[in-house]
Amino acid sequence: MEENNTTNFSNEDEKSKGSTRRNFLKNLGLAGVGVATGAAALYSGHIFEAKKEATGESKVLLTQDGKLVSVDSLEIKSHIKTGEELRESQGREGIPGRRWVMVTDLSHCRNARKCINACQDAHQLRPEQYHMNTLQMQDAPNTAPYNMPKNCQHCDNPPCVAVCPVDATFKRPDGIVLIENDRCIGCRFCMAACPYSARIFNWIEPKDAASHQGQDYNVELNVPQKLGTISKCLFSADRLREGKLPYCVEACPNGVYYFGDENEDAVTNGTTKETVRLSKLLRDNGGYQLMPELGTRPRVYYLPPKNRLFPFEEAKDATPEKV
Amino acid sequence: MGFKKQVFLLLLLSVVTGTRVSAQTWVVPDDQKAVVAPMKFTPDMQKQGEQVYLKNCQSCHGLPGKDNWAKLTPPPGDLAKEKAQKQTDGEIFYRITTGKIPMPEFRNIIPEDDRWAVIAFLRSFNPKYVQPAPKALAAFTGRSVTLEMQYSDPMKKIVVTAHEKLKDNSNVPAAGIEVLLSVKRYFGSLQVGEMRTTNARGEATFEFPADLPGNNTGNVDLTARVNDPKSQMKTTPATGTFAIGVPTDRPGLTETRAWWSTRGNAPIWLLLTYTLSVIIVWGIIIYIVSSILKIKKLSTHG
Repeated sequence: MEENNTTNFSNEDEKSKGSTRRNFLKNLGLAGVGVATGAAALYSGHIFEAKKEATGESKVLLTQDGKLVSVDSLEIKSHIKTGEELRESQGREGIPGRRWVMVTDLSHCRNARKCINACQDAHQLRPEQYHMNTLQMQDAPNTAPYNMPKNCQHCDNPPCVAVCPVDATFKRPDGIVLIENDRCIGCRFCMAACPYSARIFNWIEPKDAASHQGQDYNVELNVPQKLGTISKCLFSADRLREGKLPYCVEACPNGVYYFGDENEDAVTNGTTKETVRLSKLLRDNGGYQLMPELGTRPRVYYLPPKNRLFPFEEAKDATPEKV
Repeated sequence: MGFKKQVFLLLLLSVVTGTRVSAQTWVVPDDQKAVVAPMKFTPDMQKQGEQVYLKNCQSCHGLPGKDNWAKLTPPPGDLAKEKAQKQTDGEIFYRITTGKIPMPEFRNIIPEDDRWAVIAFLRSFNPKYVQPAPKALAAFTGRSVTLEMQYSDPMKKIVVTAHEKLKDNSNVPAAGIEVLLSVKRYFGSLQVGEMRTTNARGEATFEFPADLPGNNTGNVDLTARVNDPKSQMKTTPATGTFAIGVPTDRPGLTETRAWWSTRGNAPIWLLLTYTLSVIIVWGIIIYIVSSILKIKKLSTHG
């Protein structure tokens, strides 16, 4: 009966072929077979993995608490990380119990640019690339001009980290915002998000790239620099691990920078090596932050440029590079 | 008459310009000028001095003899040149030690031996230089003071006791000793309170600030040392760890939920909003598809 129907209404049948119950069931069956095949493939893969693990020979090991256990040899992995792997995990974890903080005393800066040079040497930067730059500032026509060193503010609410799509730039528990240039895809969202213009991009082959080829990447130093990735101030995370002050802080001849741990309430001047209380220093000298209204909560504080002992013009002569 | 007047004017002028110049120059006290190095400059010392120089001095003064000093005002100058070399060793030592803006003070940065090593290195550029004989060190006759530190619980104070070893090897309390107390911080030591002088019992008491952070259990590492800038005494500092700081165990800055954090630490409202929107969008899609299927079913039945 049904066959007759189809021959009689062949034209209509072609149009409505897709919607007959038989076809629907056929499609459902095909989909079901597809799913079953996929699941079977996954399952056999799983079985294979499990078999592989089980066939390894077992080894007898001594645990930390003195027990002898037998472990499949395939499951033995080195507990101690070395080289780049170690540096990467250290770089993500930071130094426990610390909250690094920097204080820049504007009244002392006379644009000697030693901080900039030390920084560029350490991070393999070209002379026109700045992690730390000294800006010449004048707030109003009749106020005293001053030099303002500006680096990454290592915000506690970092807009750059929020926009990074690949977790290449990240904040550490000790407050430092770092970059892992192996992950960086060069989208430059972070550059656009940073209100302090602290980030630079390697548009061209980094300085002496050929001679640094094959060098292990150090996330706490961000060297070797990589073409098409971001770089910025890292608070010299590698030096902090050794208990040393950052490159710029150490290099300053004029006592501009203080660096220390907020948890200890102490900062140390890079030039005089004098350690003072952070809270007292900020309170007594009118410490402030850059653009606090943005809610970025910077970890760099500034002391106002009062009692400047030298004129601005003199500082201009001290500038060795013209950019 | 005319001649005398001229001489007088010339004298006056020289006096005036002389004082003007001396007001700007960096005067080293005569007793410091006469200081000589306590050791003989050796080639090893020059090598060591070169290392110290490259690290601390080269950035401004450049390499000796190369005239490549930094363009600063006043000019740092090349230290191999006659202007620098005609100074006595004591003069150079004094300048390195005390500094004068913009030259940094290296008193606490370069140890004394290394400062002499730098001078040895600089003198190696001066073939005419003959080192003055080091003065024989006189036998040590100064006081020998040992400090001890205790925390007095009832008084809530740090008590530092100074003992002096006399020539007959007996120990007596040392009075009039200036004592500095400092607490260890990550990059250096932070002085606690003012300098105190020991009393007749050899004791100096320090109040510890109530708001100074310690580690997570409140422990602080304290060091008491004798203030002896001219090294006239043989002193032994005292160290100790006391649980008198404010216990500080603040969480890491990535531990709180934040907008910028990775998925695991995203704010609850963000997770909820996202999950809800995904559910709603998929819900609508599923609803539409099922409605279409229903309509089709109805049409085939019809």
